[in-house]
Amino acid sequence: MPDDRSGLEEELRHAAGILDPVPERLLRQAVSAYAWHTVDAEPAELTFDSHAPEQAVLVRGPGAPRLLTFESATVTVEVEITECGDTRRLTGRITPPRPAGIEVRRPDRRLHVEADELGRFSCDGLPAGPLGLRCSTAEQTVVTDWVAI
Amino acid sequence: MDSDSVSGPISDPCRDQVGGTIGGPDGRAIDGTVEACFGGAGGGSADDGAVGAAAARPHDAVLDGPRADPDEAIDDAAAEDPADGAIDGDESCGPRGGAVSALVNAAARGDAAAWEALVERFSPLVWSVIRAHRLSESDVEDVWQITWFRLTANLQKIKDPERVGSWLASTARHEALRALRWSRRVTPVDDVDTVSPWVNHHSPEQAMLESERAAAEADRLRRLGEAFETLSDRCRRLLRLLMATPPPSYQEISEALGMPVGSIGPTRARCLDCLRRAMAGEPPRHRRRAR
Repeated sequence: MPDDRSGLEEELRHAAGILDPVPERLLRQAVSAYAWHTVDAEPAELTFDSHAPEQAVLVRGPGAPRLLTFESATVTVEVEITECGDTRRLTGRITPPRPAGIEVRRPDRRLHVEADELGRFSCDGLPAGPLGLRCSTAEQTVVTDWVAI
Repeated sequence: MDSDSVSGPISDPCRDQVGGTIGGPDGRAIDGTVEACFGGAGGGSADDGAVGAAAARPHDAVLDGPRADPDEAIDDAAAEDPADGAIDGDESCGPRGGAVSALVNAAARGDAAAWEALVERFSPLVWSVIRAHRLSESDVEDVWQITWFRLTANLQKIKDPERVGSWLASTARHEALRALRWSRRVTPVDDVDTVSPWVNHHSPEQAMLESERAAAEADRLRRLGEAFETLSDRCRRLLRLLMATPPPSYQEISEALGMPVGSIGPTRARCLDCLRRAMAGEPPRHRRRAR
């Protein structure tokens, strides 16, 4: 009874529209997410995540730091996230090693940190939530994929 | 602390947070508590707490979202031609025909109105994917934001912009599964479970009042909810996906649930039949073959 099914499906859709619509606040967040769009930066894709769902077999225990690798065409950014109670500690390294200005992006703020001549940087006391990095070196600017830490 | 497992010694990274790095290379003083950011990986050697090169070796099966290929850069002019936006085998119900890729390409070039149109078009889909997984409130928000933030970073390099819905569905699913996996130790949850629209803050009666509908309709809505609750989790997940407006394509559903496109139609039929029987008060039939 395909017509019957379609009617029932439409009824469900109608119910979800009434009972469980996209919250207005989240809609506004999605619209304002566009502020993070940059046309001039090179995207660095998340190519390794020790906490990816399919990595779960490799879990080393709940306290193990999370390792992330972002790669652009020219730069690799490796990041380690350690949970310290309610906050997170981030240490990272840019390769090839070079000094860089690092913008630590959170949904509601931007923090700044310098990577040293070995490309290392770190950041303490980060609350849980989405995080992205924008790394500006003398040669180029790279933005990483966003991750939830 | 399992300090041997990564790349050699990681001296307790929680313990030497700020103190170990105050004398960092940039010499900045750090007042100690919240969101202290500084250069250098920590006061000591380069290996101390740094990311292990071996452990962080790129892995090629990590992101299951569509991958961008620099060799297949989007040709703006071509992509805006509706004729080029045709989809092979996409059982789409929404407005398509190149309109979506035109929005993606315009947003990639900086058109904020196009971005807003994309959000409007696909937020019900992303929301349904998230609601098809039982996540904590904070995880819901994280997954939602990450999904849209990632799109901002990938607008230029999405391989098939006409299928941005599938990309979003896949990204949201991946993040939802990751959140489920890693939130478990904080808030135990049973399984990947569906949040039914009926367990939301609204009661059907309130919602119907708000939408100025008749009481009879509220009753029907409540019975629909009761019937929905009797369904298997697999059915609830699929039906929750189908509740998005406009209805998602089978490709999008496949990405959102990790379900082969070919099994969506039969599963949908079976689940809707179960729902109809439950509403009619018939007991669920087991081992029934889908027609």
